[in-house]
Amino acid sequence: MPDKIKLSQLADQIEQTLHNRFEGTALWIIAQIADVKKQVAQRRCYLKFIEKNGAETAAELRGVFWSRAYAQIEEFEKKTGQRFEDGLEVTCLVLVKFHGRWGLSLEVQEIEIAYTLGSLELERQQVLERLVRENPNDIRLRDGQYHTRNQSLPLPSVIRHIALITAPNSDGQRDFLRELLQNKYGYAFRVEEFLTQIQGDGAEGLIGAKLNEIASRKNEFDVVAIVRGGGSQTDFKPFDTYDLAQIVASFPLPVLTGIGHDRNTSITDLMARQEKTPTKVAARLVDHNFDFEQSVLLLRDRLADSISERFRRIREELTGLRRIIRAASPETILNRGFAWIELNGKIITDPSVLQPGMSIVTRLKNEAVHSTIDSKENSTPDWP
Amino acid sequence: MSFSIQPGLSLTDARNQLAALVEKVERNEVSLDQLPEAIRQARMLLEYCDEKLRNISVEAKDAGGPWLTPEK
Repeated sequence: MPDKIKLSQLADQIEQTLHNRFEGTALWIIAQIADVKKQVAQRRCYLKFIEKNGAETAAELRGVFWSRAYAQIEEFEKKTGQRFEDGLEVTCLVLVKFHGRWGLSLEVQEIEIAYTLGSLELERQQVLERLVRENPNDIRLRDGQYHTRNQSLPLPSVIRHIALITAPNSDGQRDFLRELLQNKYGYAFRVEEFLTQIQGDGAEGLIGAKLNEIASRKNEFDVVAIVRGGGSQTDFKPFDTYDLAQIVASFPLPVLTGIGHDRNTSITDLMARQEKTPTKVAARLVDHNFDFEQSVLLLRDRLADSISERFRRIREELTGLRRIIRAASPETILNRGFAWIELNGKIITDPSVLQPGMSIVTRLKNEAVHSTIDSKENSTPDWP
Repeated sequence: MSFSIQPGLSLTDARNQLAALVEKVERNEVSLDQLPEAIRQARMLLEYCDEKLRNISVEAKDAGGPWLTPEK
């Protein structure tokens, strides 16, 4: 009969063995995470670390973040713009722990954020390269800048009809509408809301479906605005997907994005007209209409200037004419010492009608001289 | 003969018409007796732009979502 030991004794031995091997030794591991369960209130997170070899799972160990390490998850999400969720590959510093009842688990001490940033960046570059490669007519890379067909669509002179894609009851929706509604110029807008989930798994498909719906009614809208509230929202993934970026790049109406991310620009932003926040998208639309109105008011001022200039010239001409008329008036002539001769009440302009013996009247300033012609001859005056 | 704004005129076209009118006046191609008519047309175009920008009374029959007009 072999010796028997109690289960707890075995557990103790395992614990002791692992303790001897691993106690005080933290190890960096590379693994995928799965079954991530965050307990936000208790600031704990349970998960599995797995490693796949093709379709096979080569290794799988349980892991846990206790409250001290939980801040690492928050920091990770803030810095990467990526939710800490199933399917992610991460590198973590872990302690190996064994408990007689709960078994083996890896206690996470630290997440290496740079590793994830690096792999996200790599993924992003691959998506961008594929976009350029597979959509040569819609997307071009020139001098490090992406240029898309959508960005080259001109905005109408005035924007009035807006298709708004946003999450229901979100900060983004509120901020956007408030900014539009409170514009100080009194411009009116018609906004049709296309409400959808805008983050999380599969959101790109939902946003894409709304875009397709808008495209089928494109004559009813001037622009599309895609907005999402800022704050601590982190999930950026839908906007970095090939599918959504591709739809936006070739979309038949100008697309403006305000998806509220300070540090990063998503791939979808690069394909559209990007603003940082929903408020800024709305402000840009208001400014656009303001620019139009200014151009119209400038025309009004030019017209007014041109007309008053025209009347100023006419007034000037009239003043000149009046001076000439006054210089030529009989009164002016008589004042200067000239006189004229009347025969039978008519001014004589042709002296050949005058004959000796005729009675004439010579008019001078304030005087009329009556006389009879004695004789006449041809003569030219000696001008003084 | 009498000028009127065709329904559904785009604001781009309204501005272009106004610009053409202003340039004609600036080039002295509008005689003095035609000037009051030119001014009347300009005023109509300006009012049209203002109405469209602020949705003053123009398209109550427009389909789609509600118009958002800032409080005065």
